[in-house]
Amino acid sequence: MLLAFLLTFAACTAFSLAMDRHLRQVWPGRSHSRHSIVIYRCCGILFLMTATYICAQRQGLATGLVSICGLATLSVTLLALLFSYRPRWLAHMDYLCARYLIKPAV
Amino acid sequence: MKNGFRQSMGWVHTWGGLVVGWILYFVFLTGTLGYFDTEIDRWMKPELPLETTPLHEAITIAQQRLEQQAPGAQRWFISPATNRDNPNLRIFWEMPGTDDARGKTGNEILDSATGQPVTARATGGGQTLYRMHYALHYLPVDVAYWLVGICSMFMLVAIITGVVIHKKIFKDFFTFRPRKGQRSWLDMHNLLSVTALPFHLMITYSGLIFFAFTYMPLIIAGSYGIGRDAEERFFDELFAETENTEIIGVTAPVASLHLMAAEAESHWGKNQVRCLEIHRPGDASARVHIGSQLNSPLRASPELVFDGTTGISVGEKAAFASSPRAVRDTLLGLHEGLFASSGLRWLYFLSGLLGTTMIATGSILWTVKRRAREYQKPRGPSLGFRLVERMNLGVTLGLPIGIAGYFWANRLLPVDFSARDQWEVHVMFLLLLATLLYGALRPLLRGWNELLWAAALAYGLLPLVNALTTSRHLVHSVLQGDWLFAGFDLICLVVGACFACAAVHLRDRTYTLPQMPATRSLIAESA
Repeated sequence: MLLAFLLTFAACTAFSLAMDRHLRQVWPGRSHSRHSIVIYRCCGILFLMTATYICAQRQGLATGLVSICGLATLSVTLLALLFSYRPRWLAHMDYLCARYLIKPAV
Repeated sequence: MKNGFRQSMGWVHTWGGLVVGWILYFVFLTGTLGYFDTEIDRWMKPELPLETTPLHEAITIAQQRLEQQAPGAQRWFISPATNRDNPNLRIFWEMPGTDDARGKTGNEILDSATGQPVTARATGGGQTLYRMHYALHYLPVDVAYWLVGICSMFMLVAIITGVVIHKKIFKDFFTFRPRKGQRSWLDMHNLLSVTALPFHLMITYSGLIFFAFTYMPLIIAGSYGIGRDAEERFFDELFAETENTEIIGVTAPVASLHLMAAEAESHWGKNQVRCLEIHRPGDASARVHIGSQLNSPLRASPELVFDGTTGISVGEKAAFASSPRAVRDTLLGLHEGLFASSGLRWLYFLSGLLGTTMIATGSILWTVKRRAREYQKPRGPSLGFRLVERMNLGVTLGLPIGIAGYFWANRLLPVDFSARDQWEVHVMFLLLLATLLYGALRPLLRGWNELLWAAALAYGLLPLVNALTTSRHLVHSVLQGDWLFAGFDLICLVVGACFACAAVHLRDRTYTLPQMPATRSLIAESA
């Protein structure tokens, strides 16, 4: 469950950072290139699919799908709070190597 | 009604939501607590021991007690303490009935150490709270079912129209902008709705399915005819047991139940035996059904069937009965979440809380949107507006305070007081009523502030009340590793802290924002 949660959270983070608005909340002044948006979204999909697979593998398809919905709910709620109150915490979680993928603002 | 599709939907969402918002808030909050109904039961019966007896001993004890209490029964039922839904060994029996009536039934909770039934204080426990979310209270159940059903239908409409009118559902998926007045309330309402949208849809729709036979009786009448007999015939067919053997009349002792349970465990794995059902014990035609734990939302589990006198396995009954039944049962199973392990259960609880808060923020948003306009009116805000403001305050905080009162009453009412379980509930509703009145009499923002503090104290002090009235205080529970009791105390502290934070936050806001003219009380204004 913990691994599935971390993956779901990573997926939701990737989806949110694929939006310029949230990217700037974490790294003010930066914006996306055309490629980086795609990369972020693909990472998100990949993480989410892996998390779903893990849940379905461990708990059976029926329970696994319920779990992934619940985990996504938790992740999005946490992310929205982080973006509003502690956006820099997300910068510390530099697991997407975000700095290397994103062009600095011109 | 406005022109344009989205505007019309907005109108339905706003007014449909407002009308039933407070009942839905009640339904959602009590229903959310229902995900921990057994845990609340346990906390409210501190006399019950922590069950640790192994399965085979528990089964032997249950069988002895049943032989003593209900010889010649039609059916015995044993629920060993192998899952969260059943923390103590429970037995149930049904005596043979006549053609017209079912036989007498009985049930007991047993202490597996002594084999004797345990008696705990009379309490409604978590079950009463859970029941309230569909049967309300003080109302005939049929009326309550219909009332909750109509409100649920409004909820479903509100969810769907809500999705339609949310223009930036993807763009604002992760967005909450605090300290921006109406914008923040709308963001919060949107966020709470969207994050748990699958849950909201599922819980509302499946809630309606629960009482589909009540809400749509004509569907049964279409095939079975009208009247009580027709209904009974339908239910008999729907829930029919596949095998219905008659009593042979030859006595034969029941074979070793724990050997059968051991075989079931070797089949499914350790701790996977959920219940044992013994049909016609003591008769040569006896059958034993052993059910496994609920591991999926199907709401049924596979069963192993044994010959009751020889103990030989005679077959397996699959959980899946028929497709229409499986669809219905899966929806109900998803609603109840009985299959959920502790992690998933917490996610259910979180989703339920998000739903509860979504409803509360929706009602508050209604007033926030209209506040500026209402206070500019030369004769002050309209009565309807002030009523909604006060109801929001009284219900939003009154219900949590009432529920805390329910827990306080459980600890403080004398244990031998005969009507204590009813008075627990009376205390809850009296507090709700008192909060509504208090909210109506105080200046609005101060009312919010004071009642938030009241809620903070009601929950924050609950572990202390528990420590003073029982031997199972927080430190004791932690040292014993009794995480159910420790968890309850800790959650109360967290909830109390949340209310306190909200109160502090609101006080800061009261002082930093320009004072609203809403400082006079409802009564004073209407006078």
